[in-house]
Amino acid sequence: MNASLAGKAGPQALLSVRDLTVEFAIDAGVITAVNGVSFDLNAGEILAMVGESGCGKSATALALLRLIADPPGRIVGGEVRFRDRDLLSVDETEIRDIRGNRIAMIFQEPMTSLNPVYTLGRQLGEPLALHKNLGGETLLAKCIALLESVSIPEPQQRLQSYPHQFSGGMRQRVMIAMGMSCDPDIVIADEPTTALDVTIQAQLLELLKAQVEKRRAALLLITHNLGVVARYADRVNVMYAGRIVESAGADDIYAAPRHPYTIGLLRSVPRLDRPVSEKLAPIEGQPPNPLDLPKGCPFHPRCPFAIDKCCAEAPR
Amino acid sequence: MTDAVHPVAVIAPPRSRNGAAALLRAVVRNRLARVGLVIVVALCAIAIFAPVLAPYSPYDQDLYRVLAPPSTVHWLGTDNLGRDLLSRLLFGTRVSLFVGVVSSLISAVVGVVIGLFSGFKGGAVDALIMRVTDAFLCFPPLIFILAMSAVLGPGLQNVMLSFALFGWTIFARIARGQVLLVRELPFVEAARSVGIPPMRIMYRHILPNIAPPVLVAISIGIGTAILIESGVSFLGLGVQPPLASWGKELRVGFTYLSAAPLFSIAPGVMISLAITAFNFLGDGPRDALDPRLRGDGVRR
Amino acid sequence: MGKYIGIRLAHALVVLAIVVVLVFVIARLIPGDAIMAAMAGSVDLHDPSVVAKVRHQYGLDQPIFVQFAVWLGRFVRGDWGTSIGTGERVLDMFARRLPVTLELFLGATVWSIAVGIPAGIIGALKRNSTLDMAVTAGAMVGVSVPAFWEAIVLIYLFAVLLPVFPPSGYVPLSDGWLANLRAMVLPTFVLGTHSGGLLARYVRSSLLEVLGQDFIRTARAKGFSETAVIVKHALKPSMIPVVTVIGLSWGGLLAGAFFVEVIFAIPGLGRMSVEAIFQKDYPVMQATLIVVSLNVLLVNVLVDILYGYLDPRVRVRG
Repeated sequence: MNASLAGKAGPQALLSVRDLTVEFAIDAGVITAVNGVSFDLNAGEILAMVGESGCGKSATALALLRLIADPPGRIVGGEVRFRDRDLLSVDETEIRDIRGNRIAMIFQEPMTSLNPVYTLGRQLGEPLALHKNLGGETLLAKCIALLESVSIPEPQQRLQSYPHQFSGGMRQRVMIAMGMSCDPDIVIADEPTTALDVTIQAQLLELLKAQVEKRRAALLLITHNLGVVARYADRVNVMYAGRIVESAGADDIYAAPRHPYTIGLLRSVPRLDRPVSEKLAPIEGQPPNPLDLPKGCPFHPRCPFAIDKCCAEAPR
Repeated sequence: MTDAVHPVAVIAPPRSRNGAAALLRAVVRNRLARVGLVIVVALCAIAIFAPVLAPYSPYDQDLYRVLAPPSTVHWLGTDNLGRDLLSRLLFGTRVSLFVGVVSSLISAVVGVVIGLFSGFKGGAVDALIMRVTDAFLCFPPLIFILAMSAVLGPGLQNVMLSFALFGWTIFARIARGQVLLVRELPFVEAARSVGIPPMRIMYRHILPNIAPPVLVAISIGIGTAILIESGVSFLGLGVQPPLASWGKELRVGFTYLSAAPLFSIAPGVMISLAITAFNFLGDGPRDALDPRLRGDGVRR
Repeated sequence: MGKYIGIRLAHALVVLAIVVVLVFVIARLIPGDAIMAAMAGSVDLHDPSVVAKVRHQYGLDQPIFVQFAVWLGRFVRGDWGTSIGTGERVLDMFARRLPVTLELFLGATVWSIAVGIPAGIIGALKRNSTLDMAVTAGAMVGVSVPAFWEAIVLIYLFAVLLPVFPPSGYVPLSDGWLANLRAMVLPTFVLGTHSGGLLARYVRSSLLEVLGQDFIRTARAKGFSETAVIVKHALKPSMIPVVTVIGLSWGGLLAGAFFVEVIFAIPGLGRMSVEAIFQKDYPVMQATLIVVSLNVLLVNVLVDILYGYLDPRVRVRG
C-alpha cells in the first residue's frame, strides 16, 4: 500500500502510521496479523476501520499503543508518528504517559474490561489520578462530572458500586467516560458496541460522537458494521487479511467503491429499500487462513475481477 | 463448605466425546505428567517383578551383618535384623502400590455411585448427602484413619477400608458435579422427553464425561493413599511384621538415624517418589481439563 | 451479604450435627474389651462387680441414644471425661497443650505464607522460565513429600550432621524465647512446607489467570507501569481464591501436626492424640476428633464468609 492511498494528509496528520507490521507466533506457525498497514488520522476526524473478524483491525489499534501481548505477538516493523515522535520506538515512560492521557482506548467487552473487585469510582478516577495528579475532593467531583457527562443517573451512588451491578451499556458509558477523562487527542474505540444490544448501540455511538466532537478529539472507530460507518465516519479504511485494501471518504466509499472487496461488502448488506424477494449477495468463498495467505493479492481467490496478475502481486 | 468453590469438584466436561482419549493426550503433552507416568510404570514393574529383581528375600535375616552400611553385597545396607534393605524396599513397593490402588479404586466406585445418585435425585436428598460429605471432609484423612485403626485394629485391610470410608467424598463431589452440569443440557432434556430411561442417559452421556476427572482424582487418590499408608505404618499402626512396607522401614530407620542414615533416607525417597509421580500424573492433565468453571461470569 | 452468611451457617449447623454423630459412632465402635484392656492396669477385671461398676461409671450399660444424649450434654458443658491413661481431666489436658500446638501452627503459617505466596507470584510473572519451573517443581515436591520424612531428613541434616538446631524437644517460652524459637524452627518449617507448596501453586495459577483477563489490558491502556498493573489490578483478584486454599489445607495442617509433634517430641495436642489412639484412651480420642473436626468446619465457614467479603460478585449470587 503506498502513501497516496493513506488518505489526504491534511495540513499535518495528527497520527501517521507507516508500514505497521504485527506478527503472532502460535503453535502452528506465524500469523502476520497486520501487514504493512499505513494510514493517517487527522485532528478532529472520525476514521473508521472496517473489515471482517480476523482481518487485523483490532491488532492494528492495539499496536498503536504498544498493547500487543508479547508473547505471542510482536510488532516487527513500521512507524507510528504522533506529535513528532515514533510511538513504536519511544521508551516505556513516554508511551505510558501517552496511554490514557493523550491517546485513550475503549475496548469491546464491557463485561470483562473492568476489574470486578474494585468500585467503579476507583477505576474511573485512575487515569486522572495517574496523569493529572488529582486526588481527594477534586477527583471525586471530576468523577461525578464525568458520569453526568455520559448520562449516568445518580452518579454519587454509582461511584461506590461494582461493575457487575451494571448493565453492559452502562459499563461501556463508564469506559467512554474513563477514556475521555484526560481530554485525549485521539480516542481509539475497538468495536465499542458489538457486544451490546442494537438499541443501546445507537445511543452509545451518539454519545461517543458527541464526546469526541466536544473535545475536538480524533476518533479511530473500529467496527465491522457498515451502517455505523455510513452514519458516523468521515473517512473509511477497509481492511482485509491484514492490509488496507481501500481508503476513502465515507461518502466516496458508498458512492464509488473501488476495491472488489469493498464492492462485495457493500453489496452484501441487505437493504430495507429492496424487494424482500431479492437474494442476498454474499462474497463468495471464505476468509483466508491467516497462516497460509494466498500469494499476491490476498483477495484474489474470491475476487470476481481476478486476472492472472493478481496471483503474483498485490494491487497498488 | 461451598460446592461452587471447591477446585477439584467443579470441572468442565471436555469437548471431545472421547474423554479418555483427550485425557491421554493431555497426559502425554504435559511434561510433568510424562515424568509421572514413567515413574509409575517403573514402580509397577518393580512391584510385579520384585521376586526377580530383589537380590535377597526380604525376610532373610543375617544377624552377623546388622545395620551394615551400603556395600557391594548389600547395595543399600541392612536393617536392624540383618535383612537386605534394598530387597525389603522392592517388596515394599508391592504393599504400597496395592494399598494405594485398591483404596483409591474402592473410594472411586463408592463415591461415584453416591455422587451420581445424589446428583440425579436432587432436592433434599441431594442436599443431605452433600452435608454428609462435608461432615466427612471435616476430618483430616490421616486423623480419621488413625482413629479407625484404633477402632478396627491395625493392619492393612483396615487401612484400606478406612481410606474408602472417607475417600469416597471427593469422588462423590466430582460425579455429582458432572451430573448437575450435564442434566441441564438441552439434549438431555430432549432425550428425557422422548422417553429414554434415565439409566441410559447416564450411561451414554454422563459416564464418558466423568471419566477424565475421575481418573485424575484416582491418580491423586493413589498418591494420597500411599502417603497415608506410609504415615500410618510409620506410627506403627499399619502394616504388621514381617511384611515390608516403606513406612514401616522408615519407622525403624528413624530410631537408628545417626547410626545408619541411609536406613531413614531410602524408604522416604521411595515414598516421596511414588507420591510425587502419582501427583504429577494426576495434576498435569488437570490443568488441561481444568476448573475454569468458576461461574463468575469472567471470560475464560 | 447477610443472606450469604445465613446460608453458610445453616449448612454448617447441619454438618456439625452429622459430625457429632459420626464422632460418637466412631468412638463407640471401639470394642468394649479394648476399653477394658486399657484399664486392666488400674482395676481388677476378674471381679464382675468391678467390671459392672466400671461399665456403669463410663455409662456403657445404657441404651445407645441415652449414652449419646448424656455424652453430648456433658461435652457441651465442658466435661470431657477423664483420660483412661492418665486420669486427668481431658479438658485440662487440652488446655495445657493447646498453646504449644498453637505456636506450631502459627509458625507453620508464617513459613507457608512468607515462602509460598512470593514463590507463586514469581512463578506467574516469570512464566515458563527456569525460575518458574523451579517454583512449580518445588511446590509439587513440597506437597508430595511426606511431612514425617521431611522431618527426619531435616533432623539429620541440621541436627545430626550440622548441629544447628535441636533434634527434638520443646522449650517453653518461660525458659527463654530464643531457645524456644530455636527448637521450633525445624518443626514449623516442616509443617509449613505442605501448605506452602499448595499456596505457591494456587497463587501462581490464580495470578496467571487474572493476568489474562481483559481488565488488565484496560489497566495498561490507562498508562500504568507493569508493576502498577500487577500490584493495583492483578493482586487483589488473584488472592481471593487463595483464601479458599487456606481452608482446604487446614485439615492437612492438622494432620501434619500430629506427625511433627510425634517426631520432634513436642508436647502438643497432636502427640497427645496419637498416644491416646495407641492406648485406646477413648475419652481423649473422642475429644480430639470433635475438636479437630469442629476446627476444620469453623475454618471453612470463616473462609467462605471471608471469600464473600472479598469478592463482591459472590454476595449477589449467595
